[in-house]
Amino acid sequence: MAMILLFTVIPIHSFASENLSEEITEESFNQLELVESLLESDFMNFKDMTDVLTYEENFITYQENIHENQEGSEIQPYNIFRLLFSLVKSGTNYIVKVTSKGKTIKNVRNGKLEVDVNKHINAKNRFGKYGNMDKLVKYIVEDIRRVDAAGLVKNGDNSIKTIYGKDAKLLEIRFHVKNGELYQFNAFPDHSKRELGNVIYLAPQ
Amino acid sequence: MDNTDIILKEIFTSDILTKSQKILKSEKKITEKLNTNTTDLELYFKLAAVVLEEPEVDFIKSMECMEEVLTFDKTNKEAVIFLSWLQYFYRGYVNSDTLILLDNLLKDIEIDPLSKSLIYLAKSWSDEINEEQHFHFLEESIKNDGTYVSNYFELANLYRAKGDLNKEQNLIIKALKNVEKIYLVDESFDITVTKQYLGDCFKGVINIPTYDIPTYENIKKESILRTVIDSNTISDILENILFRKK
Repeated sequence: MAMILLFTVIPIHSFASENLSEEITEESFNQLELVESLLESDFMNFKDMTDVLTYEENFITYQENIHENQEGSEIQPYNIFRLLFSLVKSGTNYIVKVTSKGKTIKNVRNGKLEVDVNKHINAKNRFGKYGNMDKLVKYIVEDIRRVDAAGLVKNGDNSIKTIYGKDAKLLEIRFHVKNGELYQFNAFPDHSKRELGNVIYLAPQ
Repeated sequence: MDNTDIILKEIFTSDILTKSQKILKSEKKITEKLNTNTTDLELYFKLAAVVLEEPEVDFIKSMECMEEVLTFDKTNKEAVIFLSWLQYFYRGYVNSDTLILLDNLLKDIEIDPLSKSLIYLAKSWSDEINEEQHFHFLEESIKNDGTYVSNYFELANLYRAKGDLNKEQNLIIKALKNVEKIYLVDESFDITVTKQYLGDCFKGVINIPTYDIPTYENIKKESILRTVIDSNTISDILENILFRKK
């Protein structure tokens, strides 16, 4: 079983998505042209990109993402050109979609992974002392994105051991990837002493 | 209470051991017993429940225990249902070997309604079914046994995804009628608001027992049937679905 210590977070063109978010609100702007121009520009490192979406796929998924986020989610996309999750709340569930393929994770189950937090992550309110649940779920999803961006995710069972919040609470994230699709994720307070699947030790965000 | 349960109770009520130590020690004791009595299927269920305790939450070991039970008896309904749930909960799907076992159990014409209902529920956790089959399995599950919570919740989720919020709400109301106990996990929980949605089988609000021995029976009630549910879940349902607040 692989035990990998990841000390640093790899920033991946975060400025690109921020610029895009600002520009895209202007009505007159041709958004498809912007996506194309960013892909062709010098500051995008093509060597860093593996299995990116086509221009058209990027445009469509980004449009969908903007729409979803306008529907009430506070959670914004991280980056359009690497693994990108959109995360929205629907009833008591969170819905996760992949809007840009990552290194190992190319999609989620059925293109739309629905997680009932009360049944999974926060069963019996076990994260009651970890603060706001939206923030925690976003943190978990972001950690999955980070380890994928770092090339540490494997098909099968994965486990991230990390810490969370100002008072450095222990957090263990478990997730399963099948044929490049994120099928399930869950989280637990504290760290298991066992190495279950592909174990990744991750520095906090 | 048998001898193993007495030992486990001693371990789990210890003030000295950490939670991890309690799990490890219990695991060791049960494994020792299994070494001398490999066909005691109850012990596998006990072990499967113990290793699921936090912080270890060893789903893999728990699945191995159920697979072991099934090597002795492929028609053990509880083992097949529990294994299905473990696979679904941990990995998001029930694997094809387990689906075959579920189908084989359905061939038994004398199977009890609750088991049949849970088998259909478990079949709905497959990743090889289409939307129509998903609806069908959950409807079959409710048709065979409508006395628990999770099959209603899961069908309600499907209707919400289709945008039919009235059907979602109706199913949630039916589900709440089957709640037997509510674990109090937040001080702000107000039972008087919830009471109108609960049925005759409701036995009361209780604190989460911290001294209990982990058992499959509890896992079944809390996670598979969900007839024992926490107050946080109830509050979220009331706020987000029944009262439709944003």
